[in-house]
Amino acid sequence: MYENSHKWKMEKIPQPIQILKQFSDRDQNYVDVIKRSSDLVKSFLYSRGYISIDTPILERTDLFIRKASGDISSQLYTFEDPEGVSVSLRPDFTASVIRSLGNKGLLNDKDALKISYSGPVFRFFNDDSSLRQFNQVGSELFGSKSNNADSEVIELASGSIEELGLEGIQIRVGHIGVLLDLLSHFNLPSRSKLFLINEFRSVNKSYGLEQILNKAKNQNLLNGNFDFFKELQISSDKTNDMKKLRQELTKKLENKVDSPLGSRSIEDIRERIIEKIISRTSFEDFNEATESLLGLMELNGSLEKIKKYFKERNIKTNQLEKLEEIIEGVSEKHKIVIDLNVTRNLAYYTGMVFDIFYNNYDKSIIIGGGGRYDELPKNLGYKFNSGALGFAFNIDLVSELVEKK
Amino acid sequence: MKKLRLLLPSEGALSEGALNLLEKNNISVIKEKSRKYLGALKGMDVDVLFQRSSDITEEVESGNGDLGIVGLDRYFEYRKNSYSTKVIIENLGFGEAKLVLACPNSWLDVSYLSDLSDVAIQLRNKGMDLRIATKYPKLVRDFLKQAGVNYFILVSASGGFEAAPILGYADMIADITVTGTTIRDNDLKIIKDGIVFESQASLIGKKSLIPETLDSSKDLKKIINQILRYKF
Repeated sequence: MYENSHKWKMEKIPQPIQILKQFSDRDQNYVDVIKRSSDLVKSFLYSRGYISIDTPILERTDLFIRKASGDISSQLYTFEDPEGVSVSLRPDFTASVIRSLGNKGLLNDKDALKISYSGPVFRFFNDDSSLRQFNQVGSELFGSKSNNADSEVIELASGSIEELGLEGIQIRVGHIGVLLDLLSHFNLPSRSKLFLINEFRSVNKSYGLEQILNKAKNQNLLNGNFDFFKELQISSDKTNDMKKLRQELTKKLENKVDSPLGSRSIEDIRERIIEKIISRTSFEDFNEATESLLGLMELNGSLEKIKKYFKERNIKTNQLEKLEEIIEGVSEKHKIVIDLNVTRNLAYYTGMVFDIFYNNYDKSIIIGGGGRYDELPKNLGYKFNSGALGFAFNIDLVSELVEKK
Repeated sequence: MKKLRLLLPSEGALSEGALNLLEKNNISVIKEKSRKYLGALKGMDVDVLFQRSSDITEEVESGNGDLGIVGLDRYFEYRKNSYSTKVIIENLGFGEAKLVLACPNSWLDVSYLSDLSDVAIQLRNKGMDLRIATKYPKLVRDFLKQAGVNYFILVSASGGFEAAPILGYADMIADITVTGTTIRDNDLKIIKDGIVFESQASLIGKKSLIPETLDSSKDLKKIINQILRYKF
């Protein structure tokens, strides 16, 4: 008896397990607040015709990678399940919602679909301040390409947050089509355009023209390489007559290409060689395009000034009218600011984009956002081309801000 | 008494290099005859375990080993976090290899990474993705993102997958090469600025075992002795 208890005392108690870094345990009050908030937003969305669905927290990794095209893959929680399938925790809902509707055969070009959702999402933020699990609430609208739909989504986002009692938000609306129209005026390959629009997000006082040009140089954007001239024995003076060049290239490539091409075809290679020749980016073109974009940025806030800017440069765009119509369609216009810097991930956003800002003690924070991503269903493998858009916000953050007030 | 466990690669060039290195540092490995994968360092409180080089990082991370000799590429690819292990000596002077991107020779318009991002966009517009076969998804993904190549899918691969583009399950490969011969033999060419990672054999260890004051410029024997004095 004595010996046993002695033995027991000697036994080492293992170290207790600690909670994972950047995760949080929640008390009952918190659980209640989040549930109440989600319910409020969802019943508001329901009153606007949005039905609520739920999807698995865990999906095939490919679903999210395809959606983001590698962009957020470093933020994904990815692991192998016991069957050896690569799976990931959802970083947001959009891809899962599209997959779910697509699997059910509901993504057809006939019916408009209005969906709402709420639940936890997981992102591996590599900093010490952001929680890696938080609750998102949001909606998706499929089947409309009209500007009204864009206005509707902005209103829904604003209305949902208002429903929770958070006042004083600002919605900054941009449009990727406007930027693409401006850039189409310059002789730039599409890669340089994507690069510039992506860079545009990072512009601030210490990151401007010089930094962008340096980065472009490092990424080999400013000087094309023309190794194939030598290999195909094309002299550069032949590059004036495109028709002739195309014929010659076809012949030469057919002789030259005797190994596998992968997913590409001889035509792909020929067309790209031609595009390369046509759009040899000169430093001047790139510089001018960057300066125009930066110039456009200074006009943020005034649609009239932006219009004038396009007119003065003789650049045609109907995207500005679209943007104007979208904003016209929102009832609470005082909350809206035009901000062409709002760009988001170009891998799938195609038109209007917006960020929702809130001034928390003089510090402006983003609490949610959304936009139009017509191409996304197609990128995920569904034949659906009738328009897709949506919004989402961080309901933990919004609820905390409401409580703090 | 608990002994320090050193994990050595059990086969291939890295194994040979590791044994040569120990010999050069006047450390002899005593192999247990009956058990092929166990041994010890003569005159030191160190057990030696021979493991597949692809397992060593994980074994040190999970605590089944204390020190390990691995290729730096494998270390950065396989380690699950940055806080439990660290690199003690980055370059042990052998096991040099490069992780490179290679595309079909027939892609005459492609020489640089900048071409790849164009090709990725071109394929995307056709509703396809640039498929890259590799055993190093983590390193390759980070590298391509840095390089501005945005649309791609990584296809996991094993064995001699240099033939993946010929067999049709990938468009490109990212693989370790020493001389480049296998790549050329499979009708592929290396992207000129597509060196994803330059690797060599390194000594890694559990962070908690390594004294802050460790002088890693000393010879291997002294380093191991310092670690032994610190925790064992």
